[in-house]
Amino acid sequence: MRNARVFFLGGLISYRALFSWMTPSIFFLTLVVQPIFQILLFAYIGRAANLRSDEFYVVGNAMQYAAVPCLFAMTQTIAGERYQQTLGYILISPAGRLPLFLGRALPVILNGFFVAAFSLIVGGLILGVTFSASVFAPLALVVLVASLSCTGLGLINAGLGLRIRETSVLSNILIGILLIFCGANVPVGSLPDWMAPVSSWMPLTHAIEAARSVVHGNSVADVQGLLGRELGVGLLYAVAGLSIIRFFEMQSRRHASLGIA
Amino acid sequence: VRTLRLLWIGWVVHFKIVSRSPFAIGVGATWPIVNATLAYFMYRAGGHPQTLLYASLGSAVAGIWSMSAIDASGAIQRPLAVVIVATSFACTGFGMLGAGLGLRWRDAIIAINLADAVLLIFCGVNIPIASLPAWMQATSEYLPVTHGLRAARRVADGVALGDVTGLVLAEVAIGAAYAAIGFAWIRYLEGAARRGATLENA
Repeated sequence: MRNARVFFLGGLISYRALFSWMTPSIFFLTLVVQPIFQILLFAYIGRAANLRSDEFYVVGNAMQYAAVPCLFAMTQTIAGERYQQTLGYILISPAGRLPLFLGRALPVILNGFFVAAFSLIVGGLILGVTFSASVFAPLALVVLVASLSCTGLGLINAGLGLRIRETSVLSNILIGILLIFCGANVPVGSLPDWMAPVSSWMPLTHAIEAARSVVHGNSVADVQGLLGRELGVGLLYAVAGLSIIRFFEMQSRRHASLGIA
Repeated sequence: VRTLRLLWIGWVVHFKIVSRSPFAIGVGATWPIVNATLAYFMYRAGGHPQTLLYASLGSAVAGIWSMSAIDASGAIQRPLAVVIVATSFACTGFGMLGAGLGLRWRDAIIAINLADAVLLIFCGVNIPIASLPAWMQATSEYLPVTHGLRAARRVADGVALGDVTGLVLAEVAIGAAYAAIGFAWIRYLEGAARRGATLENA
């Protein structure tokens, strides 16, 4: 019961705390307008490069934008506590770390889901890409899985926030790496030989492939392998992230280095 | 002399502040590289070597350090420096609009990010302007970077600086127009902030 309370209430309060700095105008411009610009940019580059159809970029970039809130908001759960000088209080509390940090991930996952779904619909409308009504339900599941796995990566970044201060820079770099590697704009098969295998170990890659497959009329059952791999990758990152948080937390206790990072 | 001194000291102080911000440097370096790399891979996969050069030069002129930029830099001669200075001036003029916005809105940086995205799409940095819809092509003529990039591409093709003077002047003129509007905008908002004592309310 206590863990459930930490999970749900802690997560909700932490999410609401994000809005102390993320005003509605920042939220709107960053997570609603910016993804549309990204879709347009790459769709037009794609047209000029004669590479793929607009649908390829709408789906790829909408899915990729699920990663943005997941990465940034997860990171902010630690960096924000540090900024408000409450990180120490969080870490000396007896609350279980698993519900404490995973609870903070839940609203972020829903946020990522919302951003990706909005980008998909509005980006599609602007570029004249139409999706059959039957694809939205399976697509929603794919977006949810993608948000989950991106949150796993966000947990790693959050953990690093216990040791380094510039996590926003790191988040930007990670988003950029995802954009290049995960096949949102460049088909994975067209990447250099060494990059393609790396991309299959990154969140989003399988989800984007699954989303494109679903849009082309395949069912959830047809893409369950891809979704399973995406979840597996996400889980791997989540375990790594929680381990990093645990490790750096212990290190900071041992060396009294929490405030030094 | 006093104005020049103010300009110089202001520039030095601002440069020192920005150069000590890991966020400004990190983000400023990351996104141009990411965009240039993506454009490079996309044009390469599309099998358009001539468009690849187009995108590479766009990246180089945008001040982007990437493999594309390195390729482009081989084709670049000294005249390009003149074009880059003109383009930088035009972008600074455009940036003054955002600076004014900062007097009224605390999160003006978000609007600047969007303006950056608009320039990337409209100005032919990675996308040939001719491939854009007609209304976007028309808009691009009134934005900074468009003429500067056009001049840079012609210089890289071996055209003499004298032959792109018109484009460079157009770029400078657009920059001057934005700077004038931006300066008036800042003056207006400063006056309004004094009148309404709203400077800290932004």
